[in-house]
Amino acid sequence: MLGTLRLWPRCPVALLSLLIFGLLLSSPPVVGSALAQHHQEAVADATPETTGHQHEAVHGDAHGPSPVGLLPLWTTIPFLGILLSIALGPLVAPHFWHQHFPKISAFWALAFALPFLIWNPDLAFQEILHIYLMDYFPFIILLWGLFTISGGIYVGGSLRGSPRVNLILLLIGTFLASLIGTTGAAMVLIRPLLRANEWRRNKVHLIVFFIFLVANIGGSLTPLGDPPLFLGFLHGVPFFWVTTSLLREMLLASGLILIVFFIFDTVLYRREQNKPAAEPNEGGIKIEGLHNILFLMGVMGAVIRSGSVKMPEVPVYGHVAVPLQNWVKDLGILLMGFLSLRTTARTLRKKNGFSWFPIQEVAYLFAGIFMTIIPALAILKAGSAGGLAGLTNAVHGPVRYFWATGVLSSFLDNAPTYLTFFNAALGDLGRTEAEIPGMLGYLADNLRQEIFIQDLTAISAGAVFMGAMTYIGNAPNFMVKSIAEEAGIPMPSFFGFMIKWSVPILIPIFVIVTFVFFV
Amino acid sequence: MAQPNKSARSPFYEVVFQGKPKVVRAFLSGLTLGAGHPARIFYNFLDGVGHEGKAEKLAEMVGIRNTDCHTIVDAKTSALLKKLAKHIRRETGLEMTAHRKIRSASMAFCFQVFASKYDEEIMALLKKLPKELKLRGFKHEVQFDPSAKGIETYSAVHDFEANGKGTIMGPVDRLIAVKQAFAQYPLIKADDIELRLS
Repeated sequence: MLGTLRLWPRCPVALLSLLIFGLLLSSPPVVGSALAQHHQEAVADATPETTGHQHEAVHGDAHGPSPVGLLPLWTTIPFLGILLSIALGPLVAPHFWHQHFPKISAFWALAFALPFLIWNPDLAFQEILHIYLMDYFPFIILLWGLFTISGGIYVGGSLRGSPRVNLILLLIGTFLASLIGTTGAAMVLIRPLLRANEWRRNKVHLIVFFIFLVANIGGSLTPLGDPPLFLGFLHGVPFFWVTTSLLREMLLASGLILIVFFIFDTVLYRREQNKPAAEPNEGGIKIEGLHNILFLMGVMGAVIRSGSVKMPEVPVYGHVAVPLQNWVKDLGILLMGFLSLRTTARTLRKKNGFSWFPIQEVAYLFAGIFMTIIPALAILKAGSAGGLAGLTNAVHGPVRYFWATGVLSSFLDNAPTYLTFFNAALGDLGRTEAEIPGMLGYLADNLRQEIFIQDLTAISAGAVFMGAMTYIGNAPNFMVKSIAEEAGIPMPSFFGFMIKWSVPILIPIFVIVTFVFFV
Repeated sequence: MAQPNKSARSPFYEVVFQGKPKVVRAFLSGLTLGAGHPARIFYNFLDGVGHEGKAEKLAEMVGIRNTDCHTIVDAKTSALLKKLAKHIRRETGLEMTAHRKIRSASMAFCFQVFASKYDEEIMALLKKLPKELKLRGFKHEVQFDPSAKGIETYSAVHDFEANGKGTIMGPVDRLIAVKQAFAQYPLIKADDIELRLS
């Protein structure tokens, strides 16, 4: 099946990348021991001598709730405003939103930042600096890296879109999503799927199931797969925790969806007239730019390593201490991205329809989201002492976490939604981020907390799985819809997608997942 | 699309049978084969021809009225059915509840496409409509937004968008042929054919 494999386009650069990749992975990922060290330092020895612990103190992790956590609930209005703008803008006024979304994001960001800076300049400055250095920049750099590298992989050639071929394409996409992210996997595989089925009259279901699996549920096995999981990683969830913890849920959900898809596709395939001959194309699939896999592995190595080593912390303006391993990780990702740009022929990106616009969108919108989420996260961390005590008291247990995170992730962006409930779960138990590895069983057995493991599994599954419920649930959904429409596929409307597809197919499957794993 | 022939210009009739559509279809096939003339028969459940009125449709939906099989037959078959009406009822149990001449027919349609290629294909299809058919109230709008070119994730709009809608009127058999041609284009949404009866 594999045709042209341009593995070594520019050998010296590729060898350099291999060397860097090797260096990144040269230290074994001693997850347990490094986390144990980190945990012991953070929890048992939370002294203010180290910059890291000063940072913990400022953010209320080690010394009670942050003053921000005691802010009134109305300070979260800009956060709700930006989430609703993202949800409704593309539906209500798509062209206006397309042209003005950076201004709208800036408006909501300033609506929170300006009063906050006036009220308490020192606290506001350190909170803003903290969230941008610890969350926003790593988040954008990772998405940029994955998007840049996956945009250099072109799956060409063509296949005959039979149910078996489509099933295999979806299966590949489902697992690829965890390696290169849902956006990258969707960008790489949507066009081969469209080409393979160009001759077919009934194609809407192919795109819908592609959104379910490749653009959403497939991304649940690593923090690279879906933005919420990477935010979890940035907040202390070990890299491979989702791989082991969400594997069964992911396999059940995607297995059931694939079965439904295969039945659907077989029925519709039989109704098709003018089926092409069995072997219409001699070339099969041609993958070009495959050397980018090395860079993807480099990104993965950089991320894994940043979670498994403890390096000194670098204070920024004396307020926020950023661990050196985070800088190394971000530099590593940037390097992999630049190497991909340098070594990949531009024609491959052109054939993928690659542009920087999706990353610009994420950068602009998440600049606003991360600014406005500051009070919401702090209030949730404050648990019963915060203004959202009602929410933290109402949502308990994996079933409620799965559905609450999921339903909100269906209509609001799933990354901030995940972070909201992640903090709600921590606030609910009165725990801190520093304790997460221990609570997840990566340290001593006596620190393991089953309640938190179940809650976090449910929150992660809800955020990733139910992003498939609507076009606005996850970023690639709209991208896939748009590409399919330009290929002449009459995609359903926003509500049509829900009524005809996601609700009748996904809700029963999520109910099964709930009963099997969370009840 | 096929050019009109002599039989296309002869009138068509709507004949409504009380009975199961599959039974009616089998009966009419047998009857016309036995009669030995090339009949032209269309079925509402196969060819997307609407019922005579909304009230009838509603009555069938709520179960007040039995589900009928609406057929459209050529003049020769219509005459044969009229002649044999009593025999048909006695021998088969099928009852003809209506038998009316079709004065004209119409079909509303609309489309929305996001690539000029598909817009051109649909416009070419509309230009090739048979002469007996008339396109009424056709509106076609094309919008370009160069800033929307390329892929987007949070603000998915298209650099090209064309919308069209209108109504095609004319002989029912020609209209059915157009509806069948439209069916090959999933981007065109065509309503059921509406009949104006004598």
